[in-house]
Amino acid sequence: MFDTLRKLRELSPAERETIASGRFAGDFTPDALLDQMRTLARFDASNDTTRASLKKWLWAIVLLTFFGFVALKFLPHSDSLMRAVWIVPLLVLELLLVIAMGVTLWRLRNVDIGNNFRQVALPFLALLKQDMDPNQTITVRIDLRDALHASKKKRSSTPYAQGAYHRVVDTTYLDPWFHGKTTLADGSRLMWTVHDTIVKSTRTKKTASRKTKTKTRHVKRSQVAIALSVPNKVYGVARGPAQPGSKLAVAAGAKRSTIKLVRKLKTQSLDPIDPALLVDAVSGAYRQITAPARSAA
Amino acid sequence: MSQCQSKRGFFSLRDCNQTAIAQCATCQRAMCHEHSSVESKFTQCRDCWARAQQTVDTDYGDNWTYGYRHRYYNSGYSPIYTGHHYHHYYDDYDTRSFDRREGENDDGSDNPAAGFGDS
Repeated sequence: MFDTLRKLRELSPAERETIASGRFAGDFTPDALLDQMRTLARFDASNDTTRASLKKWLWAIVLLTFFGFVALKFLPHSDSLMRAVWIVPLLVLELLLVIAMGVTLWRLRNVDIGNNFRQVALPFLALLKQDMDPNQTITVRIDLRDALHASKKKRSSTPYAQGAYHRVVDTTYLDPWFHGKTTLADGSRLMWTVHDTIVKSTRTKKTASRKTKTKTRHVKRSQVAIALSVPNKVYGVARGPAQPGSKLAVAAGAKRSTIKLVRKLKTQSLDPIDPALLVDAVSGAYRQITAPARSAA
Repeated sequence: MSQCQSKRGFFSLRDCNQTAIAQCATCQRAMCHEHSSVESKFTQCRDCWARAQQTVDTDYGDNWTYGYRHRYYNSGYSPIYTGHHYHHYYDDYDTRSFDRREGENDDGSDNPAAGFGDS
């Protein structure tokens, strides 16, 4: 916990502002971009671990406090001295601890960064750096907020009944969280966009024992779209079959040929996509191009 | 010392073009400072280090990218090579490239008599 708070204090004002705005955007050289991203990613990894740990401790202390109060109520009057000396201060201490941990948890929750940043964008950009010259710039726009952030809510269905569920409400969230473009060392121009569409389905039913139970399910549809524009002087394009699950389009121009590729993935988890989906999309475009014509070395 | 024989890139490979400072103890290729692995105390190139190590790097540093590149190429992707200094080290990856000219050496020089490190 203290390590995470120390890391939070060590963030520069600009980095804190980035987290507060929920948006990481700008033009960077590859090294500058990755340096900034790694700092935020390290903090976020520490933040996630600390919050998970804090939640467990918080529950443990809340339960302990509850049973402490129960014990206090049933203690015989003859033990009032012990109650005054030990249990009351202990309960007060526990309460203070719960408040302190709750405040810390709330504070850290406010500076949480979506896991897409650390688990998808960072590895993809680390790989892309290998294809860039150090002085080339890359334009990125990454949404750091949670996929189910209120601002991403697009629409809610009117409640309807389905099977045993007497009330189902589907809420759709649109999360275009990753966009970028750059020119690679081989002269190709790469542009990519990743957006998720999440449907959160809240289903309520009454059980046989007349209790009301609500379940929440998520369906996430991720779409990765890339456009690779290659110079005709360097590469040829030999359109081959698209990879399974991909849509491919090739447009030949006078100076450049553009390969567009779209991949989609549907999951029932809110976990970040495998960065390989993005890597495969770009490599899928590169599979369409042919080796450069030989120049005299 | 000749030019570094490591290749840069992920989706496409290109020559490093830096001056080599040492030779990799494993593959014997000339390597520049950037392409020698710090973890091997500069005795191995990053490629050989990455091929041997399967470490998890949550910072996604250069070692991770070379390791990922090795695994990705082995999973079926054939990178396109845009450079001029062919090296057989990448043959395992079935690199898509131009045909080598007859008599050309791995270091790209035209003199068949010139060996490694002589250019």
